[in-house]
Amino acid sequence: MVAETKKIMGKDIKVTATCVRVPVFVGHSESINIETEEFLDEHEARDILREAPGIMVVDKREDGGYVTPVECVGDFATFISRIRQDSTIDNGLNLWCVSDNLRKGAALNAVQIAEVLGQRCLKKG
Amino acid sequence: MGYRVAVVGATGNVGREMLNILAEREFPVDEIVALASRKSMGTEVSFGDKTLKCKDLDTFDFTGWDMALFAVGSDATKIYAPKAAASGCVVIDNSSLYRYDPDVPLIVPEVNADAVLGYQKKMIIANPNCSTAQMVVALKPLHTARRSSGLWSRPINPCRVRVKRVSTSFGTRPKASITRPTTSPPRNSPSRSPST
Repeated sequence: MVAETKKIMGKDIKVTATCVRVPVFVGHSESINIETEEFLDEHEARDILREAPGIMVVDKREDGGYVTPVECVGDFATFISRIRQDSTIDNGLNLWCVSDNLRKGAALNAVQIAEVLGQRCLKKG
Repeated sequence: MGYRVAVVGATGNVGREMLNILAEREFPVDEIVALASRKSMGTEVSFGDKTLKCKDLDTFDFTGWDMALFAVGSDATKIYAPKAAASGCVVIDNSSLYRYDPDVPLIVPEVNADAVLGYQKKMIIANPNCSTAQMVVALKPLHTARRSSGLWSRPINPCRVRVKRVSTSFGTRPKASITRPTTSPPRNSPSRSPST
């Protein structure tokens, strides 16, 4: 996860991760704590994520106002919930991220690569 | 005019899903072939409304095929991906084998689609780990965000990302769940409405 993130996003990003397998049929869940160089307000972050490709923001401060793995099954989107300021550091954001690991995590991403390859390189479709 | 596409490991969880998604997204396919190990030869897999019979990966000639989506383990990938690439067929590999190879682009299209041009070095493109893919989709828009007021002239750049992750044992989707639930509560709720 560390090496891959650097290869995709650039070597300056620092990542630490702990991964465990849990008894869930489908879906990966990640609690992500982000530290940015400059302050980013949680409302602003929510707006940015709402507009971003591949993301569905489900973030309501009520019971069930966030996504759990069972709801991501079969979906193309990466679901983002619980977007909140981390008050323990100056420029911190926390979020909860859930996606179908067989779709975005594997087969969908491969097909999206095939689409980009076709459109930009092979140009037959 | 479309592409000639091979799905390698077509009887596995990821391979079957690749076929589903190619059909769902109406990928421009002229011809599609499902490949698997010899013991799965003849096994039927679905591609949209059609049924494909798996062919033997070991004896398959990739010449004239445009791309091959690989969803087999690193050991089989090591044997067959270079074979496909040498035949001029671009490999999109889901295994971990080539992910750190500097001559192989590692791509999440929402994040670094431009890197696709690097496929020519080895005719191979790597697909990242499932946990990485969803995380970078979330990080990229924050990483490149610019404040609209113009106060910031440069990207916000998360300099440090701490991640705690909980994962399932991936690839173990039970067969029963292939019939996907048609409803999922949060998606039906007004998820894009402003939240507090």
